[in-house]
Amino acid sequence: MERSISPDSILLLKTAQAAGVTTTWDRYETQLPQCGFGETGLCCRHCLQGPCRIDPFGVTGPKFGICGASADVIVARGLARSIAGGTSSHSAHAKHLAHTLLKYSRGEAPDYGIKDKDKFYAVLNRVGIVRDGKSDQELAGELARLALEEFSEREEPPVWLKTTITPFRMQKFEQFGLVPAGLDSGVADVMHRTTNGVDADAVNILLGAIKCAVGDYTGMYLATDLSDILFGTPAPVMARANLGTLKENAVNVAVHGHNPVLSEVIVAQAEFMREEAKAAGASEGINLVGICCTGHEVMMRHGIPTATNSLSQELAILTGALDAAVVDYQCIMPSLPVVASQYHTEIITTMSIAKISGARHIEFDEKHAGEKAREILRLAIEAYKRRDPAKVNIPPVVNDAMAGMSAEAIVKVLALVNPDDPLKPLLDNIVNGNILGVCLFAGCNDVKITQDKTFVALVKALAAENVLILCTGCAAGSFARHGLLTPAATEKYAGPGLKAVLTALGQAAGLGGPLPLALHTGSCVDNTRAASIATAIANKLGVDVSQLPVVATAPEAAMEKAVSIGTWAVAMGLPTHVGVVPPVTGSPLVVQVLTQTAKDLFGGYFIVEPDPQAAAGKLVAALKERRAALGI
Amino acid sequence: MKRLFVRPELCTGCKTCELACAIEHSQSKNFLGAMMESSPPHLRLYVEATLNGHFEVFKMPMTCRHCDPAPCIAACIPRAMYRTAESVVTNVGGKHACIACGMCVMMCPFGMIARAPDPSGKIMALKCDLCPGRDVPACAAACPTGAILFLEGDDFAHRSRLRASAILSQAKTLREATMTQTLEE
Repeated sequence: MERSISPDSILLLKTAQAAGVTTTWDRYETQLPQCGFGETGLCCRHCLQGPCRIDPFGVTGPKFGICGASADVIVARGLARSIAGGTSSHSAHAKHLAHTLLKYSRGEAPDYGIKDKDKFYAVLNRVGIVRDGKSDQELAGELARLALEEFSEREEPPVWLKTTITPFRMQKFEQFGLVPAGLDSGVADVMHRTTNGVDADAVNILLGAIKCAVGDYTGMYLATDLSDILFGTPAPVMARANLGTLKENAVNVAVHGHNPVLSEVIVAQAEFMREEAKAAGASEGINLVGICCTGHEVMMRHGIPTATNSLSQELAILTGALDAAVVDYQCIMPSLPVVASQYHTEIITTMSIAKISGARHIEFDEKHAGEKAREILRLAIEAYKRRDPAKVNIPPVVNDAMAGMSAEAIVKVLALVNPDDPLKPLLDNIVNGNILGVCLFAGCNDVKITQDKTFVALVKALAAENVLILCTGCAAGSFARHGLLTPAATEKYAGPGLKAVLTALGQAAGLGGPLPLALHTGSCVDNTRAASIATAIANKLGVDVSQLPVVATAPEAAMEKAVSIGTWAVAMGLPTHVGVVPPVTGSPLVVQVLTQTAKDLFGGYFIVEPDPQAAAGKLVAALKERRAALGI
Repeated sequence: MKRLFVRPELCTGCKTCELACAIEHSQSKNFLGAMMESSPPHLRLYVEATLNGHFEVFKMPMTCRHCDPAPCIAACIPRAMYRTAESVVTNVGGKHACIACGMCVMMCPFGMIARAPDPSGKIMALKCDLCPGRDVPACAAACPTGAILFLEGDDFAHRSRLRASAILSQAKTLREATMTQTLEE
């Protein structure tokens, strides 16, 4: 199997082989064959009497675990716990931002402020905080406290849930008991009911998992709001992509992970450290690049290039030109210090909950953010001095990429066409069929799939069918690295209707050409930006999101976070495609609930299809089914 | 003469057989003890995978076939590798000692011999011995899906014949229908 179709990845994988450096692809091969009980979700380790395994063939092996749990129960419990894992990741990200905002309000975070006042006031208004002549700093404290309360248990439904979804959806969630008392209690609830001797009804467990995922949506929405308030709401920005964005004559620093709390300060401080870098011999100063979603956060807000995705993070070190990787949390490979040990690269962990043996740890805190950022950048400059020029091997691959298409940015572009009713041009073009529907591309790269292959094939197939493409996280990174976030890609791959719409919008925005084939809507925590557009359209039409021709896909999903996002996308009413078979096939009942019953309950459902062409067919069919039901 | 047989369609690739094999060939013959031995036990059968396209993985435990004639015996210059009265091909307990030259490793068409330290730490050619002293080899006893069987050769073939016959009985119904149609025409 090819490991990647990304040209920079391909070149550096050869370098890895020649240098004898082990990468995630090699480690994957050493894991083969992977245990079929895990693959099918039929292994349970939830108590000390286990592990228990159910025979997937039902020939001679056991049909029940020691406690009596069936295959259905074991599979449902495992899936629920992975959703709890994903939800707690996004919630931790959101809480981190809320604490930063709270520290700002107390005057304990001197390097932070309210960057986007419009969004700040809009969010205050939405969540019901009255300004009443209070200072921004006081209001920030109120907002942060309200945000933190979302995670504990309250009598009222979470504010960021009830104020951001359609009334139909809220009613449905209340009807099925899917409104979590608090976002963290959704996670704790899943952990409780999936422990030995609690919930033994697979469908009921799945409902608990969906309730947890509804909390995941809520935390993600909150995280995006607070990021925009603290760091600015993304606006269209031209940036670049691929590992060719590393510079031979600069101190190259990659920010990697997910939360902009640290990387924003690194970006700010890098300005002041330019001369220090030059004094060390780097004629082009400091060159910041992004890896994974921290990269997308700074790409959207500052045009910092996205060097590579999470799956190929090790390859950045193999360029021999990466002087430091500063990481926060999530999707950071524990192997980074091992690969870096053969080069000069400094791997710097910064979060108390995410240390890696062999890496240097510089504990980050908001009070001393600027100082810590300078300390980190100095380490990078020191490492640059140790760089071995003989090992420098930057692949000559660079693509342009337009980013920053937040919901607000998309509405602003639409307002250029119709200032009084910005959503109207989009709706008109959906109704007249120029746009068949909308597809949100999300999720990761997965080592089990040739990197980017499904992403690229699927987006081309859907764009040719006039599907408007939004993308986040590693999906956006993948498209960026293949030149698909460009007007040229629209010219080449968009169907005639989509091309006409993107061209009209691009012209109105003064681009002199079409908008990119895919609109980079944010990092993976920003999937709610796309959801907010769908909700706005649904509210305008007085319908529910589950009726709109909107679908989602995670063609190369890998992480628990992708599972929780996919689950709330289904709960919100979206047909949601996954290109990797999740560990649920051991239970025909769970498979049926996720792919069929969910459609009756929520309108949304999972479509599992590894083949991109077949997946495109199924997604287009889902869009057409919705259009037919709306009579358009 | 019982042999190991594999039904690859039942293999999940969990490697429980590999683990059981290694433990059986340790000094302490239990999991915790085996992990703490100075010379970690070496397994003598291997679950291998073949990628088929992107997703399908063909998984199968590969075991020594105890061939007759056996290339490993023929290749063993010091004549350490021999066939026991029970027709087990082994280099343990014979007249001559293994000198770890690795000729048998090269000659085995299935890759079933490893040159590695034995439980006492001596480097030698390690291979399947069908677990002397056990009624059923550890791998077959441990397999959670019954993919590894310890049977007389004809018992396995008989089972395969019965399965094939069951499939053909469905074909027979179809054939009869077709033949009737053809005759009617």
